[in-house]
Amino acid sequence: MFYWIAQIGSKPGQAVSHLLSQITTFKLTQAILVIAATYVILRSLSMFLNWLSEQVVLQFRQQIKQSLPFWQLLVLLIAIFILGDLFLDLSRANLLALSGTIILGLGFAFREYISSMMAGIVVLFESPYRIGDRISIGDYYGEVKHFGLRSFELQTLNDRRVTIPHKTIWESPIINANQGNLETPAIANFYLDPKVNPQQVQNILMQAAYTSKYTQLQKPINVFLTESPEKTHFQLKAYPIDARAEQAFISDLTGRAKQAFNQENIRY
Amino acid sequence: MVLGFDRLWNWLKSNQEVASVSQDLQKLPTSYQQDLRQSLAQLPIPEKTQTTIKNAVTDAIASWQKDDAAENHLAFIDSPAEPLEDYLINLLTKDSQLDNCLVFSFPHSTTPQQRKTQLKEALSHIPSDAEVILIPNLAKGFLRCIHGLEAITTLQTTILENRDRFWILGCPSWAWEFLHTTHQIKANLNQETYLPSLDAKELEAWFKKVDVDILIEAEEEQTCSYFQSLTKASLGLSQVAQDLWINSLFCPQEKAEIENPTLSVKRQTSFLPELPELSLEDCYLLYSLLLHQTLNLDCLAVSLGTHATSLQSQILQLQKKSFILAEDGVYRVNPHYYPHILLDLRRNGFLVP
Repeated sequence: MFYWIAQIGSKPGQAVSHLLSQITTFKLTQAILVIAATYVILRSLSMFLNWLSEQVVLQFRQQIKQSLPFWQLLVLLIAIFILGDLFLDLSRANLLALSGTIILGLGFAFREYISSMMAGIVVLFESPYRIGDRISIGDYYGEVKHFGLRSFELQTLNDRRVTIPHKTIWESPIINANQGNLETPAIANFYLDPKVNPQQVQNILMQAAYTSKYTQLQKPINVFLTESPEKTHFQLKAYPIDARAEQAFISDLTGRAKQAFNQENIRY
Repeated sequence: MVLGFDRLWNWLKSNQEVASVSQDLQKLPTSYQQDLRQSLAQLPIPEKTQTTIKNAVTDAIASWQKDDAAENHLAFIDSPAEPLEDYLINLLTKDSQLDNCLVFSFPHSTTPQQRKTQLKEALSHIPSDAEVILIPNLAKGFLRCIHGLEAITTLQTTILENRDRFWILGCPSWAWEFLHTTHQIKANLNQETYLPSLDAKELEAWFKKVDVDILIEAEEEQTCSYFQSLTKASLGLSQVAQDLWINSLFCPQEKAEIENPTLSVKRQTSFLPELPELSLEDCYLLYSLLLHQTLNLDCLAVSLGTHATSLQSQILQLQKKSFILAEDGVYRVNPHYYPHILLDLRRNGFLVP
C-alpha cells in the first residue's frame, strides 16, 4: 500500500509526508470529537426516527423508518470527509492514489462486508424491500424491522429476529408481499371436507373478513378454492388495517370462521 | 406527518389559552354548567336540519305516490356524532307530519339471530294501514360478526319487494359506508339525503335560543369570528359545537364565587382539546362505537370479536380519558373528541366517510 502511494512523489518519504501532514494533538482531539459526535448522532438519529415514525399517521411510518440508512450514510460520509480533511492532503493525485489503495486493501480484507454494504446501497435505490415490507428471502418470511447499511433484520411470524446481510440479494430471490404499501394481504387457510357446500363456506368466510375489526375494508376480499381428493382448500385473502397485526388478523379470521363452521355442522 | 403538526399546533394553542385564561378567569361553576347542558338538551332541532328532513320526505313520498317507478324509500345519513334517530322520530312522528307512520327501532340484543327474528316478526305484523315505515337507526340493526348482518339483508330485500309501503331510514354515515361495502346498500337503496352541517350564522342563531341566566360579554366582531372558529372546530356538527361552546365559557373569579343569578361570562375562542395518544386497540374500539353510535358492553365485545371481561379495563381507561361516555351501561364516543378521532381513524386506514 505504502509502496503504491510512494510512486506519486519524487521521493517515497516526501509523498507520505505530503499525504499525512501536520498531525497535531489539536487535530487528534478534533478527530476524537468528530468520531464521538458521529456515534452520538447516529444513535440519536436512529432513536429519533423510530420515535417520529410512531408519532405520525400510519401512511408515513414506513417512509420515515426507511430513510434511516440514507441519513446514516450521509452522516458517515460527512464524518469521513471531515476526518480526511483533518489528516490528509486531498490533492487530486493523492485522492486517486488513496481511493485506489483503500479499495484494493479493503477489498481483500473485508470482501464479504464490502459486498454487503454495496448491496445495501443498491437496495437503498432499487428498493426490493423496505422497512415494514413483508418479504420472503431464502428460508425466512417476515416483516423487515430494521434496515442497516450492511444487513437488515426480519421479524418472522413466530417473533424471531433474523439478521440477513444485504448481499443475499445477489444470489437469492426475494418475494415482497406489499412492495412498500402499508397494506399486506393476509391469507387464512381452511382445509375442509370435500363434501361441504362451497357457497355456504364462501359466505361464512366473506362474512368473517367483513366483520373482523382488523380488516381494511377499502381493499378487496377474496376467497379462493382448490380441490384435492382428500380435502377442499379454501383461501381467504384480505388486508389488515395495520400490517403488524397480520398474525392476529389471521387468528381472528380462523377462530371465528371455525366457530361458524361448528355451528352449521360444516366438517373440516 | 400533518397530524403531528396539527397536534403540536393545538397543543401550543391550548397552552396559550390556559395561560391567558388562568390569570383572571375560571371555568363556569358546576351548577351553571349543568343548567347549560340541560338547556342545550332542550334546544329545538336546528332549522336547517328540520327543513332538509321535512322537504326530502314530502318530495320523496309525493313522487312515490304519483309514479310507480319512483323509489319507495328514503335514507337520511348524518354524522354518528349527531342524534339523527331523535331528529327523525321527533320530526316525523311526534310533530305528526306523517299519518300512518310506524316506527321500528331495533332493540339492543347481543345475538344477531335475535335481531333477525325481531325484524322478521315486526315485518310480519305491520298493520295494513301503515303506509310509511320509519326505521330511525339502521346501525342498530346489525352487529359486526358472522351472521350479524343478516337482518340488513332481510330488510333490504323486504324494502325492494314491498313497493306498497314507503320506507324512511336513518343511518349514521360510518355505518352507511360500512353497509355499502358489505351490502352495496348505496346501489340498492339509492335515494339518500345527507343532512347538512351548520354554518357560523346558523350556529349563532341556534345558540341564541339557549335559555339560562348568563350574560355573554362579547362585541359583534368578536362574536362573528368566534362562531366561525366554533364552526370550523366542530365541523358544523351541533353536538360537538354544544360541547365546545360550554367549554369556551369562562367567568371572572370573584363573580363565580358570588354566584349571581345572572352570571356575566366571557367567551374564549373555542379550541379542540389535544387528543391524548390512542393505541391501535383503542382505535378499533372507537371505530366500533362510532359505527353503531351506541353499544352496550356485550355488543361491543361481539363487534370486536372478544370477550366482555377483556374489554372492561380498556373501556375504563378510555372513560378516564373522557373519550367515551357511559349512560345506563350503554357507551358512546364523547362528541368533544369526535373531530380528532375522525381525522385520526381516517388517516390510519379505517373506513371513514
